[in-house]
Amino acid sequence: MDAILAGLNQLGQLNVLIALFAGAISGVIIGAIPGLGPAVAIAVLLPATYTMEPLTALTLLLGIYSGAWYGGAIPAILINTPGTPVNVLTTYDGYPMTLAGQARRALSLAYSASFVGGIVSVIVLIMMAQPLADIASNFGSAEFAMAALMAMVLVVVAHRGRVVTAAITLAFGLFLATVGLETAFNTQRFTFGQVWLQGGIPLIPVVLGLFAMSQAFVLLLGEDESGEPPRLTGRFFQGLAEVFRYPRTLFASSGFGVFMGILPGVGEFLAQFFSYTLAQKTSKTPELFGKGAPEGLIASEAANNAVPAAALVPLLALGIPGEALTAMMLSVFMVHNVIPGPELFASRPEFISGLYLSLLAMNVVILIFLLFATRMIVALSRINTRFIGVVILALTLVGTYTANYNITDPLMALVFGLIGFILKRHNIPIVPIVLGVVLGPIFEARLRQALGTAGGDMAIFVERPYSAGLIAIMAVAVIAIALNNRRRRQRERMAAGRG
Amino acid sequence: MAAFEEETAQDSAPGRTILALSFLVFGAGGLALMPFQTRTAPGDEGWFTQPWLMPLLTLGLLTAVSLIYTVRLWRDRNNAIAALTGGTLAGELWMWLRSAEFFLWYVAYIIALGVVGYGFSTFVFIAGLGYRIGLRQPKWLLAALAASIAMTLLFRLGLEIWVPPADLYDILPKSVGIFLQQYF
Repeated sequence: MDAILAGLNQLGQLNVLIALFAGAISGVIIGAIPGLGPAVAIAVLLPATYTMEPLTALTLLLGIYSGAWYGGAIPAILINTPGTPVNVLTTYDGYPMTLAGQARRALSLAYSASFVGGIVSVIVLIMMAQPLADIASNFGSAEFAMAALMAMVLVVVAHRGRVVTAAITLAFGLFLATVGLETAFNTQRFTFGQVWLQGGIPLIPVVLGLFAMSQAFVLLLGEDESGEPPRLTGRFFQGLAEVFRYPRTLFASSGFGVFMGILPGVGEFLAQFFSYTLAQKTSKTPELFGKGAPEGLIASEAANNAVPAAALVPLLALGIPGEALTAMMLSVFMVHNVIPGPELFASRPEFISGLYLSLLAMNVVILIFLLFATRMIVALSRINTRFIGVVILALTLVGTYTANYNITDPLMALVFGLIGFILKRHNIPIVPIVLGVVLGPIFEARLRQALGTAGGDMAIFVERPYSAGLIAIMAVAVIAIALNNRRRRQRERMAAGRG
Repeated sequence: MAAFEEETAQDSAPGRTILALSFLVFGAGGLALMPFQTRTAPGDEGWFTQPWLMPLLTLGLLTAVSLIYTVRLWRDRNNAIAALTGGTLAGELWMWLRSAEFFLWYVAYIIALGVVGYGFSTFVFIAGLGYRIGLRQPKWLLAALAASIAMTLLFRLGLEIWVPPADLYDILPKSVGIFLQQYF
């Protein structure tokens, strides 16, 4: 009870409230503009949040993260263009509903499913983070090293059909993390005698380049993809309650989102894929999927929105981010010398409960905002996407140049922008680079400590039960993916043989 | 899922081959440079404490998986033929070069920041680059003005981000210069 009151006290602070509303509302708007997306917005705002209190900064960034998935459904449903990549499946059933004159029903179904997914996810976060942190309080360096390794392995295997390229970019990111002054022996690694490389490759230019600048280049060199939104027809509030007519799809999809969100590197794509597939298999009308099935829309949106809060579980409990957006958030903790992990729950309970309450409040603010501002947000999908590219590029200046006021940071960001642009053109994943940069130093430090205490004996990783458990999870994930790929190849060969 | 991820990429066989080879060269080159760019620590504190361990592991992994990827691409006959004969190689490289043009625009923007200040340089950058990519109607000039005002309000007034003093403000009356320096 004390923790809840302390959390309410934190949430009641003016700067946190402003961050809550600003993050939630701007997140929805960012999500509704095709081509923008939360990664771009968070990368741009990240340097500015370093001067804020941790709770204020995280509330702002989480508002953008959560709000964007809600907002991304709007252009997906109305103009068949997903606002963010994770809203692709929403187009399958949302757009046919719009063509059938049920745009408002589809939007309200999406909002309501997203809201349920979001709230379920926060409840799971509240229930799971503390027990997991309690378990993690028994962790030593061996377990933290294996948890970091598990996050890296899962990130790679989660990229179905792109495992090799994901491994390449992860290795590239891990190598980047080794550049600079190595503190244990005060030696330099791959600095080529350059003073500006001694501090290492900073995270800000990497994320701004890979996410914001590369996206700006994609938009600048592409065709305008803005669309003319249709008139909103149908009953708006009908879908809000209608989602509860499909409780199995609603809560199973939310569950998938939560589970996939907790697993490092897996996230929204697999969550919505599994949810959609399950919803179709268990539906009484599977033939309607892809033609405007409410269950398809619910499955996609509930799963997406259940991910953000769940993705905080490994970050808060273990200090291990599972994907790019929480990796960026980890840097906010680090700047303020707040170390996420078991000790945070004991030393800063007011911060933890403040974060939980702001996540709950965020979903309410977003839903209310959407109920009253949808008509205005719809107009945003008409913004020329090439103009958005120009604005993104201009926005990155604040982050790249004003962090240190030297030319090397923006130049470094531009180089990563070009790398990101080229990788995106070839569908090679960029997220593992960021995770490599963030997790590399954690892994190296913990590996050294663990082996130091064991006198260099690698058996320490299998002798300790939690560490062995993490290795078992990695092994199961790798074997499952390998078997799945084999089955898929067999099916493809059989299909080719029939053809 | 993989199917619609593929749809979003403008893939090309030569582009992939160049990327695979680039990563392979980067990894192998890094391994070759290790004796010169890392050191062996003195004393006998164990192999796991050596500063070269992580670069060795990461570059080794990078080289190994890049090699696998390159071999896989090469074993695909169509891929190999496309890469050898050029295929869309020139077009792909031209696209990479076109993105490099924005590099120069951005450097000019940074230089302009110290000359005319944040607000004005942002307006010139958005309007100029917009014009360059074909947004040439008057409405885009207004849009650039609105965007630069919004960004100035957000970053300079709202988040109080400091930017270096602009040369232009020195030649203006002192009170105007101070005002612009603080808010613009």
